[in-house]
Amino acid sequence: MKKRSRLELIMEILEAINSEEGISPTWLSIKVNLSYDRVKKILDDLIARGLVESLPSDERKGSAKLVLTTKGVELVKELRKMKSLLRDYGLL
Amino acid sequence: MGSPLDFYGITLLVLNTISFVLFLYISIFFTRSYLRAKIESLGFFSLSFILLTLSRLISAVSTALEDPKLSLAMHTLSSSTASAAFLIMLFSIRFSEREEVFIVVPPLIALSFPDLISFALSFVTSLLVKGKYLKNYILMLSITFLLRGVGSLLMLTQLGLYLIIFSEFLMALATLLFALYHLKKVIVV
Repeated sequence: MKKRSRLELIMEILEAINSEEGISPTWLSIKVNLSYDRVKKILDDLIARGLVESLPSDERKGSAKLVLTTKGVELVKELRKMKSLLRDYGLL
Repeated sequence: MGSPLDFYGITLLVLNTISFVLFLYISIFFTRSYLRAKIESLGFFSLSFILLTLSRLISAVSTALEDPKLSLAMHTLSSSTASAAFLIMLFSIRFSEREEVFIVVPPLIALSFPDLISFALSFVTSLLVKGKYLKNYILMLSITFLLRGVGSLLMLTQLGLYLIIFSEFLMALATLLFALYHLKKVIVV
């Protein structure tokens, strides 16, 4: 499998959260096929940048629920628009 | 050749202005995304397009200028800016994953400006030579290259123009002194 760039990973993570609002970090790591630690590191960065929000779970001891912020949703839309161009340049 | 704004000139001006507007749009688009996500490859990309935008702007200005010398200088600057844009783009395609590579952006831009290359080379030479006067002459030449390089970068401003005019004068003077020094060494044993 081709090594994914950081840009690709961020795009996949944002898309996954966008398509499944309230997804847990564990399920997210399975969905994007990346180790939990790697996902956690990227998520921390995205949360710090205000693109993703981590909400506490309703269940006891359950893991957090992830949702995109308005800024995150806008970024997803922008990244979708530039996807084809980035692919042409070999960045994806 | 007629005046700079004959049919050919106007066509060039229109084409360059359209390209400028389009590149500006792409630059804003990428810069906005980069600022949101801080993904390095997007940062490099937006920087490349900012430089391409500048290149088109300078090219459009060069087409409209009446003074042939200034127009040629602008034309050269436009090429240098485009060259810097593609160097950064090339770098972003190969090494964009590493955050620290942003450090290489200034040298990559400098690489595209011949005066700044001359400055770097002459400065290193000035550090290596032993003769006291020779060191100073080369250093003086080196500074004139730097001034002219910075002047080129600021070409669109009044300061840039003054810097180029001043550095041209200083360079002529420094070169003369440099040549005289060599001549003296060769003739007077």
